Amino acid sequence: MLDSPLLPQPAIPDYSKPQENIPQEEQKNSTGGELQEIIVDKVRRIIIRGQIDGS
Amino acid sequence: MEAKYPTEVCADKQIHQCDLFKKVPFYESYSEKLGAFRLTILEFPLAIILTQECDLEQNLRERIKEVTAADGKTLHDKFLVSLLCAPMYNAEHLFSGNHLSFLEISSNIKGSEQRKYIKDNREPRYHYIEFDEGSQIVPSIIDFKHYFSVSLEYLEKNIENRICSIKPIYRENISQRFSNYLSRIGLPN
Repeated sequence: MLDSPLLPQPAIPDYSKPQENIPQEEQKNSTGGELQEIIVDKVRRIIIRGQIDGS
Repeated sequence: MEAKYPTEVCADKQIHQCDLFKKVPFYESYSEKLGAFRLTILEFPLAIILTQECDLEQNLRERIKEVTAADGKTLHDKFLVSLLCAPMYNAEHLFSGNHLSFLEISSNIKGSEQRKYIKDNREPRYHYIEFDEGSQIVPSIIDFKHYFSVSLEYLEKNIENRICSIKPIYRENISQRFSNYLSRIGLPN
């Protein structure tokens, strides 16, 4: 019993399994909204190309 | 057991130290060639503001006053070029070494001992956070090595991207660990 926790342990979700990315369209439709984004998103690189004169 | 970090939702328009923003951009590179340009941006899904609270407060207070200097120009002694911030990664992504996978970068997988070390906030580079139940944010890790800057104007124009703010004492704890990390002295191996 010495190894038993003294306090109730928090219910931490198990993220040990790889997280799959939710498709963009599914994210928009998800009722989870921002929470879903925070869980699944990773930093990404956005590349923008264009003409300097704006054409 | 780690303390749960309490958060609050700020309704004001001032950016605060330890505000959490989503979709924070870092303008990585810009180049021009033969009339065409190429801009690359790193978009961090979650980042924390590390600029001191007093700097942010004084900057806003000065702008509200709109004082004109003797030379006729706007007095802006507390002008901020940019704010310092750091990304917050999903803890399990970082432990698995795949938090930068969209950038085609892999990191070391953290073993159980290393994970415990990070969770106990004994690793100077990282700050592990479990949030209170109200915030609905997964356990996250600030990587102090990845600090970057973001424009104040951008954040103010996208204030709706602010998710919440970490409450005082906890935010000072983060700030102190960040400054300790920055001021460390790397001795030769």
